[in-house]
Order: sequence, then C-alpha cells, then structure tokens
Amino acid sequence: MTRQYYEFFCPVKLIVGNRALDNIPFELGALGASRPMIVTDRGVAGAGLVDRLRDVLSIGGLQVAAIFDEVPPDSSVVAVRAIARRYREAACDSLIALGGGSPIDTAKAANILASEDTDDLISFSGVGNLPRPLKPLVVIPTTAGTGSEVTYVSVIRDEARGVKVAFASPFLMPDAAVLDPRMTLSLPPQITAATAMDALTHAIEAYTCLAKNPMSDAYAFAAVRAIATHLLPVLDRPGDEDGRLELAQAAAMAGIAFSNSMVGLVHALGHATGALCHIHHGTCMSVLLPAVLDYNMDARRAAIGELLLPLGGAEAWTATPEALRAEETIRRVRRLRDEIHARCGLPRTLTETGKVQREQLPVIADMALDDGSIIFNPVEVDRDEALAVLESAWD
Amino acid sequence: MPSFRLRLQHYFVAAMMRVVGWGLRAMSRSDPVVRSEATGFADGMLIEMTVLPGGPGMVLQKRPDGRLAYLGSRPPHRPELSIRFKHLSHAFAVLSFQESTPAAFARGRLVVDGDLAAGVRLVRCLYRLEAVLLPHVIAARGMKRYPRGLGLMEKLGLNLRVYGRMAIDLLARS
Repeated sequence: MTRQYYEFFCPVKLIVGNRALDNIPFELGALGASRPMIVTDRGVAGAGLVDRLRDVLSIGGLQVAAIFDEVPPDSSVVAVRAIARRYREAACDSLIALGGGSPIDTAKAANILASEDTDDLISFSGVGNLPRPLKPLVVIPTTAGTGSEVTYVSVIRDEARGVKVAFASPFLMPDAAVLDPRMTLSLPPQITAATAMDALTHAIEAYTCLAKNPMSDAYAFAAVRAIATHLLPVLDRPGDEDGRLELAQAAAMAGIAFSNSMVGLVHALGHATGALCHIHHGTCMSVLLPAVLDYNMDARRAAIGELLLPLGGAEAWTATPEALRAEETIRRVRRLRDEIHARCGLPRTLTETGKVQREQLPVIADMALDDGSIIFNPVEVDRDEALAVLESAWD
Repeated sequence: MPSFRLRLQHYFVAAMMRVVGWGLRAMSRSDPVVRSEATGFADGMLIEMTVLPGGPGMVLQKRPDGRLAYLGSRPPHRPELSIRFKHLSHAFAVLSFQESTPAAFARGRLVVDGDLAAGVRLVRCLYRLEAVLLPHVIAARGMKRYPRGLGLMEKLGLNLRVYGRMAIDLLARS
C-alpha cells in the first residue's frame, strides 16, 4: 500500500504579462465589483505606481473609491483596522493590494474585517477560522519574491501584544494576481536581488523539505530555472521588462510551490534573524540558504543534486558526475550569491549585514527552534546544530 | 454503524491519547527535557490534541509551578493550542507509529490552531515522550531522529521514574 499522500491547491487566477494591469477592470467587473480600494505603502505610492494604476483603471471605466497608502513595513493590526474603517466609510466593494509582502498580507487581513463587518481581527487567527468567502481581492506584486499573491496565509503584527499573528484559510487567497512588468521596473537592484533570493529559497526549500510533492516540485523546478537564468541579467539591465516578468513569474511559481509543500530551516533561522536584528527577509534567505543546504545534504542529497539542472543548465548537469551534483548545486548557489554581491552589494554573510552581533546567535538559534517551519525541515535540528549553521553563515 | 475496524481504531486512539496525556503530565515532573520545554508554555495555557470531528482527545494545562496537568479529553474553554487530526485513521496511523509525526504534518494529516511556537514545543515534547517510553526501534519510527545521547541506562532510569510517576498519579486519582 502506498504511503504517498499530498494536497495541492491554488485557485488564484494569474494575469500575466504585457499590459496585464489593463485587465483589472474586466476582472473586477466579472467578480461583481465596481468600487475598489487600493491598499499600498508610501514607497510604492512615492514611485508613482498608484497614479499609474489609477489611470489604467480609469481608462477601463473603474473609479477607485478609496486609497490607503500607509501600510507599515511590517503589517500591523492597527493598519488593518484603519483600512477596514476606510473601506466601510467609502462604501467600497473590493480590494486591490499593490506592493510587496506587507501591503498584500495587510490587504488580505483587512478583507477579513471588511467582509465580516467586524473589528475583531484576532478571533479569526489560526487555521481555517474563516466561515465564508471574502470580498473580491486582486493583488499586484511590486516585488518578485514573497509569493504572497498566491498563498492562503497572512501574517500580521499585533503591536499591543508584541507578537506576529498568522491567519490561514483558503478564503484568504486572492481572486487574481496581476503580474505586470511595469510594476517591478522601479525596484532598486538590492531589493530586486534580495526578493529574488527569497523566491529562490522558497523554491529550493519546497523541493527539498519534507512536504515536497510532484506538483510543487514542478513549480519549484521551473522557478529555480527562471531565477538562475534571469536574475543576473536583470541586475545588469534593470529596465529589462522581459527579465522582470520572468522573475515575477518565478516568484509566483515559487509561492505556489511552498504554499503547498512548506519551507524549512532557512526560513526558521531567517524569521528569527529578521525579527531580532531587523534584516530584510530576502537578505536573511540569501545569507542562510547555502549553509542550510550543507546541513541538509546527507538527508536530501538526491533532491539537492537534481536542482543542478535548473540552476546550472544542461552543460553543468552532464559535466558533473551524479555523486557530486549536490555539492555542485550548493557551489552554484554560493557563486550566484557572490555575483549578486559584486553587482549590488547584497550581503553574503551575517557579518556583512552589519546588523548581527555574534553574541545574538544563540538567541537566534533558540527562537528558530520554535518556528513552525522547522517541522518541515528534512533533518532534525537541535540548538547546537542551529547555532553551528548560523556560525557557518557568519563570515 | 462504524465498522469493527473503525471502532477498534477509536478505542486504540482514545487509549493512546490518555497515555500521551498521562505521560506528558508525569514527564513534566520527572524528565528534565520535558520539564524544561513545559516551562516555555504560558501559565494556564490549554493544550489540546484531538480528532475531528468530536473524536478522542486529550487536554493538558500548564500550571504556574511549571508542570502540566491532565484535564481529560475535552477542554473547559477554547484552548490556546489545538492540534487536530483530520480523521480517526490519521490519528491511528500516527499513534500506532505507522506514520511519523513530521510525516503527518508534511502530509497535512492534522491542523495546528493557535500558538504555533507552542505547537512546535509540544511536538518536541511528544518526540521525547516516544523516545523515553518506547523501545528504540519503535520510537525511531515516530520522529526524524532518535535523540543522540539517550543511552540505555539513562532511558531505563527515566522509564522507571516516568512509569512510576504515572502509576502514582493514577492511584492518587482513584
């Protein structure tokens, strides 16, 4: 009797490519919505993307009913409540999230309050605690990394209690994700690199951790190939729309992959490092990924070795004996990290971030052991081992 | 009317839930690892492990003195942490060591509702429970890695203390 079992779910409609934004009025109309509210942050608004979106919607016959452009870098309950209040005041009937992970997660959570007509967000926290479908939500990522546009999770900071609260439900998934290269063109090189390395980590962890399955493997594999092929050229030519689109697609594919097979120790350590030392999540991923792959090598040699094909191409794959492919994969990840550093200065080690003190490493290791992602890592990790991985990423 | 096999699974899972509850209560006093882990739960926290819908379960509560109290099969109010098997057969597979706890998580056999960090801590307690109370060959099937450094003599000593504690607790209750 087979023991194989997995679940795979992604109902998000992907609208991708040239002038993809222009389809939003039609899509919202098909969902019965005509008064959308835009949720974004100051940086995105400052880059002129809100104005551009409003123009596109206006030409399509859709007037924006309200705009909230004060989402903080870490999503917050206060912001979620403020959005829901403004949503009701302006009699909105749908949401458009425009931005990176924070605006997207915030819009997802605000949709709970707007749809349930309540201010009690925390009572919906946890898994599967939403009773019915929410209002229409369209997501426009302006970074290519988090994959939040295709996931069923939202993580919101509860300032009052000083904790991050997770919400997970299939009803949180957006109705549509719009990947338009115009929306990521203004992304600075270091953020482009950090978010792409976040997506690469999603894909690699999805492919190598315990919940891997054939469906998520396919998405992860394609995501790794796209990032390996297009990241460096985009850093060299930031105005490359085709390359930007490839990275946006890769981030969505990696998001679909990890949403269905979870992530592991890189994220456990990265969440803790980010929370304690206030380092960008993608930077943490980039710094920690090779060290964790080394740690997981014995348990996942075959899977890591298989990633040499999308990462290094057919020539590297055929030129490397099977027994050495896993090592070569990790060497290629390190080389990619070095080449990114040479182009935009993205830190390669914890030391280079300039934000981590060595005496903080034991605290990070302790925090990581309580992170939910660690359950899905293929190798058990104790405190000393987590500390050893951090030490190997130190310099 | 459920089949004989399902009824048997129900009784087995109900019995194992009690063993887990009694075991963790005893180990929160007798075993240094579980004692240390238990201090990480918030005081008064209700921890539930159950089977959907309305199947067998066990409920623990963290006491201010650091120990875990076994409250039976149903929580008095909504628990701060609830680990719910989606089906009786999933719980049976895990509690009869046909499927490891991490594999059950990876296959989506159960959902964690509430404090996720506490959920990870509870999983570590369960690993320890299995490692201490079960023979090596069976315990190793339930986890990713049998604890390094848990030698036979230490395990036998812990066995005596934990089973003794469980017996005392049961006698005290009766």
